[in-house]
Amino acid sequence: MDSVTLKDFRCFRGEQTARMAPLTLLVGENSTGKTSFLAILRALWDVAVYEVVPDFRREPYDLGAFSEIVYNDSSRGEQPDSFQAGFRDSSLEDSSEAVSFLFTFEDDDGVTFPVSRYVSAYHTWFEVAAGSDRIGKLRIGIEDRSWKGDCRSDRFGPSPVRLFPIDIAVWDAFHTADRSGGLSIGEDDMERVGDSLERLLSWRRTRRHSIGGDATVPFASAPVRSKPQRTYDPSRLIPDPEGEYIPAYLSMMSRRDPDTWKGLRENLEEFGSASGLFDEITIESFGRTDDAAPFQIQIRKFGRKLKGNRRNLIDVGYGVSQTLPIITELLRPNAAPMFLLQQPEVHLHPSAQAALGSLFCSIAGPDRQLVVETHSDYIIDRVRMDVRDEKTDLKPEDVSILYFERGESDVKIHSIRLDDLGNVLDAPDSYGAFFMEETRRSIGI
Amino acid sequence: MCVIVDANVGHEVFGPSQSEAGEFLLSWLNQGGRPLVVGGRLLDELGRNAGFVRWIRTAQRAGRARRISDEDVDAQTDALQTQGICRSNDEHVLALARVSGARLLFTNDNALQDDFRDRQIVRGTQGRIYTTQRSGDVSRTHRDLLSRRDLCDG
Repeated sequence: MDSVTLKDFRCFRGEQTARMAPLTLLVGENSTGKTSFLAILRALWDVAVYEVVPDFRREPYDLGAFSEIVYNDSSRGEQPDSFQAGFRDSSLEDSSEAVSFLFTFEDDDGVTFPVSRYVSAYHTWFEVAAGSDRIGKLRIGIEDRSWKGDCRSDRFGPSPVRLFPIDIAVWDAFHTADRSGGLSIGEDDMERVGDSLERLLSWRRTRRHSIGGDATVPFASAPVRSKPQRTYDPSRLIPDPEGEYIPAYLSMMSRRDPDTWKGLRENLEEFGSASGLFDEITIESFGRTDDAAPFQIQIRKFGRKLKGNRRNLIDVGYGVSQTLPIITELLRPNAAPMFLLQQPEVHLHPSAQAALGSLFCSIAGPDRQLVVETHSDYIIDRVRMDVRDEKTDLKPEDVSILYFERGESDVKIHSIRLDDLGNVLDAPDSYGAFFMEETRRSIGI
Repeated sequence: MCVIVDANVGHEVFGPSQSEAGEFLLSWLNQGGRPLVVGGRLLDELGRNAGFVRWIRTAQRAGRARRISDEDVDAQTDALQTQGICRSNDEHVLALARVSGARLLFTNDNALQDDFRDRQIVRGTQGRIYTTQRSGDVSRTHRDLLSRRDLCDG
């Protein structure tokens, strides 16, 4: 995603556009909509890539019912009937041929439903709007010309949560051109429409279908991860935002795929050493050697001369168990295409927070977008320094800091950039104001 | 990129012996007036002031201060020294102004003030001087200077 546009969503009044980058850091005071922003990114992915109705109550983001999701200013008696969200993506193609989406959501019998989906793909745009009586409205445009037609309505799609695919809506309308409501479009124009549709489908396929087993859905972590246990019983590998499945995943990997486990373990230990959290991680299996055996996760921190004892995960600092789900997901093979992380720095010493910043820099790139909600200056400083010192492939333009500034009754998103010397550019006056005042007091001037 | 503080008045802004006008400038910087620019030898000189070192870390994070490339500043310093057109021996400060576009300088050094105003040395928008030579109190001149919109060139 290159940019995200919101209108009347949660605390974001009116239309706002935020610049996205391979590594996007969300900063600002508590309750300024950072988590809502993460939630809408996942929802946008659901609608654009999977063409499903997003579940705004799915963990780790429970935004509630429509009335709680749409912007609401009770002091002004202002509550719009709809909100919009969309994004632009040029990651697969030349930026002049980006794909853009804009969805309008309304309350539909208690469901926050995308009643209108606008897609601009290459030289054509499409809009599917839910109609009535099982008929949806389709519009197609090329340059200054546009056509209207009917299509089967989203509301009566193949299943309650699935949206009617735009490509099928177009073909449907085109092939019923001879009847009322059909799409009256010439063969030549239809060829151009078909070309754009094919490119849109290609964009979608690349995201839906795994290449080499890569995950195809964003990874969304909760701000608090699961509590460590002394001994784990193998459980099903069902991903959850708290990372409860991670110990079982590590155990399974160590038994079934030793080569992959070796690589993952090396990566985990490399981060562990850089962060000061641990130097060695091992899985101790009990009893049987099959998948049903209970196991423990053991950690070792080396001293200057001695390697030290292996200690159970539960017996070391909370920072290790709280970070393990995130670093495992970041470093595992077939990692997610997008990471939505909430305060990954929780429980970490500043040196480990800084190491996390370096890890983000090493992982973020054109194929893996990281969006990190953070209160950690150590993470941001490390990102600035790694970019400045060219310790990462990320260029200054590959980092975006989104500052969420609270207003009287809404929140404004500021897109802050870095330059190649690590300077912070385009920051509004309120950005860092608290820290400036604290520093002034601290110095005593 | 707009304001330069000369090392000889660093203590008036960042302590330990703040003047009223220095404190006024610091408040303006803290509140997002315009960023302070640093780089080259001047950064080393200001870096001897503990208050500055603590301030600059937070200020750079908050976009209130900007680091300018040492290499660029050093190259301009060399160029000015080769030309031999400066009255002061602060070519590194003038070079910083050239590279960053900063057109407001806090200094009490007469020769440097003359150089900073000299368009042969600092081209483009006229350089302005913030000084406490006569008095450390905040004057109307200080207020006017900080309300100007032409403190940056380019």
